Amino acid sequence: MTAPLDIDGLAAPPRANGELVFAEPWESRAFGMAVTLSEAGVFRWAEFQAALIARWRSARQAMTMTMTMTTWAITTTDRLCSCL
Amino acid sequence: MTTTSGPGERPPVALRTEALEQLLTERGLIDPQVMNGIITDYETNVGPLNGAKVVARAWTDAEYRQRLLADGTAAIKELGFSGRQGEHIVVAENTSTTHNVVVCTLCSCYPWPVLGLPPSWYKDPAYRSRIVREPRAVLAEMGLELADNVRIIVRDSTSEVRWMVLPERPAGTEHLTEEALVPLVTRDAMVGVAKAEAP
Repeated sequence: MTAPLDIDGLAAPPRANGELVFAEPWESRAFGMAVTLSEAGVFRWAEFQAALIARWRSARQAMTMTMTMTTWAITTTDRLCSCL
Repeated sequence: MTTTSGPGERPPVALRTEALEQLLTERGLIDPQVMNGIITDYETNVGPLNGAKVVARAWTDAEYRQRLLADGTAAIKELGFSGRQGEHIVVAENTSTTHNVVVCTLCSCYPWPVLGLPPSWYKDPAYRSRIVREPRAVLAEMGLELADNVRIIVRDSTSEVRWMVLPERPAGTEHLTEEALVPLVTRDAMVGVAKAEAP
């Protein structure tokens, strides 16, 4: 485990007492893809965090969203699509 | 396009994630085996953060450590952690010569506000009975070999008293800040079935 996951802040995946709680299996796959790509050097984690925050901010302007693991994972898959 | 979906139908975002994973795999950008290992690691090893913050504070602030050992619930509340299943938490300190390990022999009493939900093995009847009878052997099976001269104390949590272990600060971490120490504290170390390790 090497990706320094944020604990607080907009890029931090939501936790319950420190544990990542995935509501659906696809959420953990999205999370896993982000970490795997970062560890493989496809992008730097800091760069991924910045992109995630930017997307999250623009989504928030469009509608009121709370950062659940689901919205975190959706935002993550948005970012990952640009790796293709 | 219809907006209704059948009961067995998967949401579009799940299908999209699956397609994304397939494409990234085909292009050689991810190895599913490596990815599965990473997910498992995060799901099982990323520890309960509240308890880790308490321990890191105790490691770096001697007065806080004293308050924590004198009245666990109050000291934990100072950091903003309290609530259900955390009404009476008692903290036991592990040292180089004394090792505390926690069990709930009756059921699965556990200090939720600091440690989250208990892991499945904590509720296992085998752990609950064997850790009392042969703690040294059970700890060794769980990967923690303790020298014969280390005294082991088994703490039995109940609905009245919930135990938490203050692990020993790992050697070689003297230069680390409180914040940098937090990730070293694992759930298992705070139950006493593992030690906190230097990075």
